[in-house]
Amino acid sequence: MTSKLNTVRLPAGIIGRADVARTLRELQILDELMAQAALLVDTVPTLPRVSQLTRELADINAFEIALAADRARLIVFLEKIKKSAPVLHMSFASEPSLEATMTIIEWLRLEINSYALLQIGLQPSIVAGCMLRTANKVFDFSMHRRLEDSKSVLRESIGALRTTS
Amino acid sequence: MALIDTILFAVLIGSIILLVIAFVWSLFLQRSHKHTVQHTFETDAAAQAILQKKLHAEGRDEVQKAVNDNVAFIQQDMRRTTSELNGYMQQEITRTLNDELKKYGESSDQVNQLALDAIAKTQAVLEAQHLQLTEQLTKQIAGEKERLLTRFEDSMTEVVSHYVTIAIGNQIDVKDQLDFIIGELKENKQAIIEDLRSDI
Repeated sequence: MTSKLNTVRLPAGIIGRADVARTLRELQILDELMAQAALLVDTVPTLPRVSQLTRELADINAFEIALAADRARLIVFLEKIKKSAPVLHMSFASEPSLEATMTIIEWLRLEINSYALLQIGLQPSIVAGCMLRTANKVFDFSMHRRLEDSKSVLRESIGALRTTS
Repeated sequence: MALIDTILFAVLIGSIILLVIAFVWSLFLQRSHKHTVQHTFETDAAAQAILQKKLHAEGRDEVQKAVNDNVAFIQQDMRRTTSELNGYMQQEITRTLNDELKKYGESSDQVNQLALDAIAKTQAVLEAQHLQLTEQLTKQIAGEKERLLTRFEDSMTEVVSHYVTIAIGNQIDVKDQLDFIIGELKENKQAIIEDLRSDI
């Protein structure tokens, strides 16, 4: 990787591997189109519209999509991310909003790993909170676990009721 | 009945004896009359015959009288015997009947007492069984209640989770839980980093 690639950042909008793959495909298609357009004589190739994610990726890293070299670097970067970026699985009781997901992924990339990807799942039984699954571990941040940990409190309350009854 | 037979037989024998005696006596009278008549009317055969006839009639009358007397005696004796027998039989029958009735009464009393004793025993057994069953049932109910409570306590988390999920499951947005989630992530940050490092 070049020194510039070492400092490439992922935008918060690219959350999971699907986003990476989609952005990568778009850049590859764009690169192909621009290469073909450059072969045409007497025409100035115009950049077609790109997605918001691709635009953000280029903007936060100060890359120019119109430049073939920058596109090539981004493609290499995304291929590396797609291949080896750590993926964390998070399950929620209900579908999280984009804003909440972006907040979480920003924290993960700031505190855990700069290139962490997130895969969202649904698990209604956890009621609230989330379950985080890495390659080797499962972290239970759910209300179900909190209730399980506090079972003794409920048992004491029921015991007190039985004593009085 | 044997007594009556004996009496009749005795009367018969007595009568026969009396007849024989009367006959012999008549013969004796006849002979003595015959001698007297022979001495006095030795030569009168008709008078002799008349005398014999007279003697026979007298003898016959005596015998008849003796027989009649014996018959009367026998009749009287039989009446008395019959009366005594009736009285004896009545007495015996009454005594036997009273004895049997008394025995029957005693047996009935014994049977009644046995029945009462059996009923009392059965009642005692039933009461004991009732008590035992009541205790068993109470114990089982208490055990079942305890089992249900234990099961509830063991499944409390699921029960409460299910309740909360049904009650407000779709109402809590993840956005409202961000502080909690981020707090949990911070608490476990080092563990997550080490796990990702070990995987790389």
